[in-house]
Amino acid sequence: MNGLERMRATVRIDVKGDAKERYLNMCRARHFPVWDVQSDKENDVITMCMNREDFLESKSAIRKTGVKVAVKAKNGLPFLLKKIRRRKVFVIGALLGFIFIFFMMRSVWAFQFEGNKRITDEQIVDYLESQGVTIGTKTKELDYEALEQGLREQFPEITWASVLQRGTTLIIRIREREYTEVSQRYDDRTDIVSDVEGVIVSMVVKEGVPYVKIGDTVNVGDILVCGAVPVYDENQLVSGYQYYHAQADILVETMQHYTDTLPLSYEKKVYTGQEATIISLGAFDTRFVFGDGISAQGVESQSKSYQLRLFRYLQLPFFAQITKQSAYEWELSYYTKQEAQTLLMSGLEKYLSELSEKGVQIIAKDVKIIKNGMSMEIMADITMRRLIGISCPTTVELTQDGENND
Amino acid sequence: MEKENERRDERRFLKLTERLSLPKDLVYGECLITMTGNTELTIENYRSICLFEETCIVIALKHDRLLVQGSRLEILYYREDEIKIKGRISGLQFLGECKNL
Repeated sequence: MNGLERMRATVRIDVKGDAKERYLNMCRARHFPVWDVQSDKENDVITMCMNREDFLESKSAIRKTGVKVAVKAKNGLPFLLKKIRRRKVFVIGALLGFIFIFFMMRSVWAFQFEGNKRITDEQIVDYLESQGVTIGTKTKELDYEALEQGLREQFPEITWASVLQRGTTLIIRIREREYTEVSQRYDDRTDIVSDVEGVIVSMVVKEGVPYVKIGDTVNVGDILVCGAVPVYDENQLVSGYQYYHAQADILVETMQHYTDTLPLSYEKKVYTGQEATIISLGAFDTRFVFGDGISAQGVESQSKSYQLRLFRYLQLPFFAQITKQSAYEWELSYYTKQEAQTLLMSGLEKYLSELSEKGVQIIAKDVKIIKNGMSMEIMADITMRRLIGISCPTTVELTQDGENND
Repeated sequence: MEKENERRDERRFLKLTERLSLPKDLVYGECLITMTGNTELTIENYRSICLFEETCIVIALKHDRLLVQGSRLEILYYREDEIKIKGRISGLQFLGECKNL
């Protein structure tokens, strides 16, 4: 049955009686098309579908065969229209709804951002606004390709951008560049130079000539591994250098001094108990605000925004915002000795955990907390093991007279 | 004498159709049965339905009766020259000519 045939008025009937098959044959003889014929043995009936006009014309066949016929269902457009005629308001409402949605879909009523990690939603919104794309912009005015290109130019971190519209939502999908620690290159002629003071406890040289050994004490700026590898002639004299990008894992034991100061007095936020709720309802560019805000020096606000939507991407320009305000005052307060110590220690622990995340091994720590007038001070000597060395261009060069200048 | 003449004519007609390779469904009104797996069956050039149940359907053909056995049998459509049966068909059997039809 094709779509056009489905529009026709059809009936599904139950035929009961001894001459069910005869009724079927008579329908065939009168050229009445019959389909979906099923037999129900339990109730001794045959269920079948036929056109309404054919069914009405088959009344003489019903009379002749003596079967009992019951209409089980009425399908098709004429029956549907008959039903709809009784529900005019519903139909008009549905039609107006469709027209409304059609007009709404001609504008952008919401933004959706996907794939941004470092770039915030607000940054992208600001960029879109600078390009004239705001809530309510007509979709036919949008130049998707220009927006994509503009996003890539505005934010160098973006490697790929896609702007597309679904329903009333403008979806901006971006992919950001993955940052990897790229070691600085100096045209492959580099030495490794110490960046801290300490004693070398382990050393694995991958490329270059080591200038220090395990147990040596190194200072800031000392060359640890040289990228210039000497080439000797038959007289065991340096005839030249082969230059490399010096690479080595050098672990030193070093001591670092940590200090932090905490003033014992501080300003504490004390809520006065004065609270207010502001409800803002909006449609398109119009806003209606219900409720008065608090007029105090310090007001803390928390807002929740809602937007009406029919489906995931069919956002409509009807907004609601509930803002809760609480008034507060600043009050001078003092930390107790215990509180101050806990705060300073937690600061130190945080610093140590950050170092551990960077691969630094903490060997020992000597912590002192002293009261210094109206403040508390923490001092810690942290013994740690860490990888050292930064790449610097090599200074070793062969001079005219065949000696190195270092 | 008349009967002999009729039989002779019939034999001649039979020979002629065989020589001309005419399809028998057109000449004699023989039925055409098409099966798709064991779930669909189409019969052309049938006469009427003798019995219709969920497990068996008997179709009257021009010179024979066809018994369709199976389960969950139903008639997808039922036109003047063609009938299509759907269900799990387990067997077809020709029952011989029915004089009453």
